[in-house]
Amino acid sequence: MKNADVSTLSPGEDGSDNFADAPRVELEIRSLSEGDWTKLGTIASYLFKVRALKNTWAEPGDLLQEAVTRTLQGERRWRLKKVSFIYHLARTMESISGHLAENRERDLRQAFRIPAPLHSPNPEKATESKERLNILREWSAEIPHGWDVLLLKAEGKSASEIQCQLSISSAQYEATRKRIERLLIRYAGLGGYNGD
Amino acid sequence: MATKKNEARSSSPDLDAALIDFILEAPDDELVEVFHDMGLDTAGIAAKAQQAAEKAVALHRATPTQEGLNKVESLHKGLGILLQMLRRRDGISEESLAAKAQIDIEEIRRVEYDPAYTPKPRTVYQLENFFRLPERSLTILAGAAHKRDKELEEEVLRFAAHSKDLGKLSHDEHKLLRDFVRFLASKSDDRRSE
Repeated sequence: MKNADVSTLSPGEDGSDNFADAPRVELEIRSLSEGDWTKLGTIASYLFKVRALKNTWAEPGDLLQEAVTRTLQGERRWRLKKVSFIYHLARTMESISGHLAENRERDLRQAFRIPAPLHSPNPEKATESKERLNILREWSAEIPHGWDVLLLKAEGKSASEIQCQLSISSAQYEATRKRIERLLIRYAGLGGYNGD
Repeated sequence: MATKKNEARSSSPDLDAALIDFILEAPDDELVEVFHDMGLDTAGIAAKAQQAAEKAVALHRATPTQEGLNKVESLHKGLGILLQMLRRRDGISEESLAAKAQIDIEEIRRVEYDPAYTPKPRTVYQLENFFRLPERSLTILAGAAHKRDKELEEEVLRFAAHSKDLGKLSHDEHKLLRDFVRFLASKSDDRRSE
């Protein structure tokens, strides 16, 4: 099931019955494979690291726990036919950690009276974005085509579109993709890499 | 090649989303292979993630949600209205019911008017006997909801919406009451056979 334009709507925005209730969510949790849990654990570790959540929670699992809790409570509802359950949890973790990072940035600005950048509607997001862009560019530079593949993927391009646009073979694309996975795993702190 | 324009358009949250997509779309065996090549064990990472999710489930089950509490109160409201209609059907007052069914009058009033109140099992039993209702037909309205029963919740809401407060029961209300009691009896039969 694709994740092209997942949206975790708030309750009330869609009156349809296509949202999973708590029992359905529990059933889904029981049916996840070890591979699914590995992905979720990896993503939680990555977000915990890049969004610097160690002041909020003790460990990455806490972010995943929060995502599951909000799904069970209906605050972040899983649209059954739209996306797979692990996509939903991944996006929920992303959303939660993103909001926390923005709030922290805003609190820091207020605490140290740092003025917001001019003409920026969301200065917290802008600051975090610029720094993160630099970090991501830096560590994907070691992968041939890494940065370009990442940018095109971020635009929603498919594998074949990326290969076509970059004039690379599918073998080259697959090799790049796997190296990006390795980099994420390392950066998440799972491979002993601090990334600081 | 990706252009500076592309770079400007992509913010780091989009790039994080792209990175996460790579992980989500990777075949399971490929990810295991990547971890293995890096000297890492996926079992530990998977186990921690699963534990975190199961902890969320356990806590959610242990904590009555507002939605859950609202559902129980809806059932209690249905019980209260049912009791009022039964009294109206038989033309008896609260005091008379209390005396004949040997129930404390305060208990009767709370059952009828306080949806947050859970009646005592003895009260429910006495009421079923007094009004000659099928066994356990009131019990399923009285206790905490054991599991979500959408059909029951909807039927209770429908029943409550169509009942009136005062006076003798109309013909329609007699039918409403009969149908609802029959429904409750079938529900209690279903639960007995589970």
